[in-house]
Amino acid sequence: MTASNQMTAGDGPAVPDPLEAARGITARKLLRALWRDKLMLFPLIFLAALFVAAVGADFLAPHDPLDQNLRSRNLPPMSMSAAEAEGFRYILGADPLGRDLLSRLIHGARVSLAVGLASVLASGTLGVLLGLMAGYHRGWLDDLVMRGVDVLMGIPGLLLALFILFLVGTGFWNLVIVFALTRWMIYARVTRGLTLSFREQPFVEGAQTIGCSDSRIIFHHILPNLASPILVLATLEVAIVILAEAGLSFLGMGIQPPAPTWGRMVAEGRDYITSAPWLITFPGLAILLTALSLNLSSAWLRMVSDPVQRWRWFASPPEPGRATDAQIAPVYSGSIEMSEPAHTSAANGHHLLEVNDLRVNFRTPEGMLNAVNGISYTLDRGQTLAILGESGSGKTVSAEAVIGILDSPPAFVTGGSVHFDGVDLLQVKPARRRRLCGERIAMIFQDPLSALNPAYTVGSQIAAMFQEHRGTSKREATAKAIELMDRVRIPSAPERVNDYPHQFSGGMRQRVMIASAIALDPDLLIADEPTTALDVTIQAQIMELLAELQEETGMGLILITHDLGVVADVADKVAVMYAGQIVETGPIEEIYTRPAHPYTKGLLESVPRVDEKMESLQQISGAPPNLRLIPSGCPFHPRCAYVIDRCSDEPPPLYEVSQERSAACHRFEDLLHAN
Amino acid sequence: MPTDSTAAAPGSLEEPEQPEQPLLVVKDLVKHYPTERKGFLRAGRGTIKAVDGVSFNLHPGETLGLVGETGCGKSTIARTLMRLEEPTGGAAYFKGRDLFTLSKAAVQALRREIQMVFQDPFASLNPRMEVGQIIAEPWVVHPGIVPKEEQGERVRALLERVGLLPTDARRYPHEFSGGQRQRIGIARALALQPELIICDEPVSALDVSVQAQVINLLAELQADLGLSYIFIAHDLAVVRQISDRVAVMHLGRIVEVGGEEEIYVRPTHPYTQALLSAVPVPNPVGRKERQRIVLEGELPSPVDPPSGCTFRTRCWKAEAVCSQDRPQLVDRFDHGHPSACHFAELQAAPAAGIA
Repeated sequence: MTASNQMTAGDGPAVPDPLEAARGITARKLLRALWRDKLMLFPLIFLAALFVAAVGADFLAPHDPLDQNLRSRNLPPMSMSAAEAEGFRYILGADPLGRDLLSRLIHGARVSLAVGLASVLASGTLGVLLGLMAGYHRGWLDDLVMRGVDVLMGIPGLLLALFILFLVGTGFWNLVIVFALTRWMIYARVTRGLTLSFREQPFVEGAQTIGCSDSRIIFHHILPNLASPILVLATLEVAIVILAEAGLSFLGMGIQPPAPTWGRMVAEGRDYITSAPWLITFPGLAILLTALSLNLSSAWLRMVSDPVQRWRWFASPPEPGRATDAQIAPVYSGSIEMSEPAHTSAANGHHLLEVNDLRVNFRTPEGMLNAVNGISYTLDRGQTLAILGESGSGKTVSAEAVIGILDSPPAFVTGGSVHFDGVDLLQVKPARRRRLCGERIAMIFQDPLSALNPAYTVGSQIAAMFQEHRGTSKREATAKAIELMDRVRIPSAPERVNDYPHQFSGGMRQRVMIASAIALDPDLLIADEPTTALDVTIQAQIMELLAELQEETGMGLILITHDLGVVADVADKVAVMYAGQIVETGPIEEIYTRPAHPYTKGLLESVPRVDEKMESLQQISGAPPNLRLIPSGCPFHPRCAYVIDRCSDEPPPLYEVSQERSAACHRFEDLLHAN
Repeated sequence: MPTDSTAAAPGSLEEPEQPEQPLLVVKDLVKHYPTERKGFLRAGRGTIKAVDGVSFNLHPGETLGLVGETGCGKSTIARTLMRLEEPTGGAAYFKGRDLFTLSKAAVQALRREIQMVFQDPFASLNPRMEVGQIIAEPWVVHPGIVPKEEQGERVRALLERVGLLPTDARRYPHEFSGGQRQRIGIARALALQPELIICDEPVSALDVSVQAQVINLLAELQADLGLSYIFIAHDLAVVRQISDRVAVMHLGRIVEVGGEEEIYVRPTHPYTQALLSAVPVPNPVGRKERQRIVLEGELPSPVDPPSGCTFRTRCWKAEAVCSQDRPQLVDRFDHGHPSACHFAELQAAPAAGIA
């Protein structure tokens, strides 16, 4: 039990604070958030007003919407009634029969909303049920439903509606039925597609494994996950149905006169568009604003109805310059200086690559994310540097910053320098940097399938390197591509040069990536988790290939990985990253045999080994930090077994441990002696 | 007569030092998938032989590791045992009852005894349910195990058992880190107090520093509750750490099976030897001298596997006999450690550097 208690202590909520806002939603929280989000406030107010108007039309309308007064025909807005005895104002004017336009508009809202909501309810229920059944059970039902959808999608909806209405006659319920029959396939299609994908989700399989029945899986597990997209769809559909009803009324097939509907009002106003433009303007505006409000609020509904997204809307927007909480204050503002170990600051121009105090931030809508917080390292020709870290440690982002392929925005390099062969890559012009990086620095990625363009043959993708950078002719470039594929040992290269990426296995695709990376004899190769997606026997092949190529060409290699075994196999130097910082760096043998940082030590002790079975694994408590909430002081201190008071408020500099190694731990000497 | 066949079935694979009845006996499990869906015009063109005749035993309180590369069929075994997929052939006797011939109702009842932990901690929990609801759902589906008024209390106890806070019951899955979500998945699996938990790559999606926590938790739960595990993973080191016995799979078949130490220290099948030697050891000392078997070529396709021994296309020992005669999984050295190779030989694992 002690072990699990210990876990509990360190393993607290992963992303706590912003989420608190969305827990226990009260009316007050809702109103406050709504007040902040003006774009949502107005549509919702408009829709609420519309709803009130529709329900309370009898009391709100200043006049009877059917009351004709031929002496007041087409009166402009704000004019007085012609019948002196009544003496009321036509606030929005009067129609050709002298009926009060405002009253008709208010009563029209009732018809429009009623038709819209009832139709959407009917078509939505029908469509969602059919979609769920078709997507979950597949088979003949699926075929039947989908063919029905195909047929209906091929017929113009309004024409079909007109045809049916012509047969059965008009009227409120007939309209609702017609809309249900002509709109259900919109929901069915979306629902079926989503159901198909959710059906394969592990959580649905999990529900199966605990013994849930099909109906429970459909209604308890799949349907709630469809709620957001379907709500959004339904809101949009209300707008479409209101417009369609207006159109049908306009054509005389909607709700029959004298009942006021917006569509009919537009139709009637058409004849007087020049002499009495208000007749068409106000109902037109009502239709436009209703549709607009519904569309806007559908986006809002999507966010609020999803527990994963909800907190974003409830959380206050980030205010620059104000730390919301002492605990989540950014660790490294400009004032905290990282003292640099002597051996990295001294050299200049002697190293192939020299990274100094590199910083990268992500500016996201939820606030600043400190991905890389001042890292420094050097690499020489022929050397292999491993950057070791877990997800979110900043290892990939720092490499992308070096080669210049950061997605910017949201990522920005906010400080530091990257000297490649004496040139500061962060200072040179973008065009020069592209040329320099394109020719002399190459990078390979974890997932070669997404890194290769599926539309081009692998040969043409390798050849493109020569055509673009060397101006080689196509024929010659293809010959060189074959040569390279041979060099990375792709069997029967001359035949396979015209194959597409999907025709290769994962290991072969990685070879293609390597071939194109080494095409221009780069001085530096950055390999980002090059074997993580591969099987262990294929991994051994790829690592062997990389080692051989490095031997032949003398290039520098940066290997980014989370695998301590791979690092131990090939690296000369290692830099261990945690929460965007290098916590320990130095020659591989020394670090693996005598780690000076508790994180390195913890990693080495917690990794299961193929060469020995341990009684039980040493474990590091807790999880890597959220980069928005990096702990103060040493970022590792909440998980650290060596923690002392000092660690929580004083960020440790990279102490020089020995001539070539350094560690960012106040207690590195204790650790060295402990080993 | 399932009970009779259970007694007869294990025969060749039964370990001498384990006299008690096995909990699970899998016999000749086969799962083939058609490569094309049936249509009007063309019938299925070929079959993917995902699992092609697998037999093993699992004893109470034991952990059997299933290890192998992509496409070796290890996850398909889990899915057929859970009846998420219907097997093409074979039998699996759990406490004497054949899992594959049970009625739908009997399968439901059986879910109480066999549970599963999934690989992807992000996708295996319903994002719309609170953690408390997720853990209590098995009791809603199987009424009568835990009365409604006690469920809250039991959920909190389970959360504490797996190293989370009782207050976490009111949170949604997305509020947790990968390791914590995997703990929630384990708590749900424990809710029905199963005897067997099938773990399908439970730690491979987790960060290195979190893997050990989950492995230790699983080991601790096994010791406390007497659980049996089938532990499926591609990571040989993880499998070694948690397993009592290990079955190495290649293209739908078990090529070698035995005690953890037998497999890792005295592998006899060339595929096992190659796998073990390919795993990089986190120890840079003496890496230059380390001998490594690097296999040539690619994993063959399960649609059209090689004749005879499916490993022969990558094997350095392959001879003519390997393409004609499929080697049987038999105990070749009287170790209680069968291997399916004509040229099986004892060899200290090269990577382990034990010699």
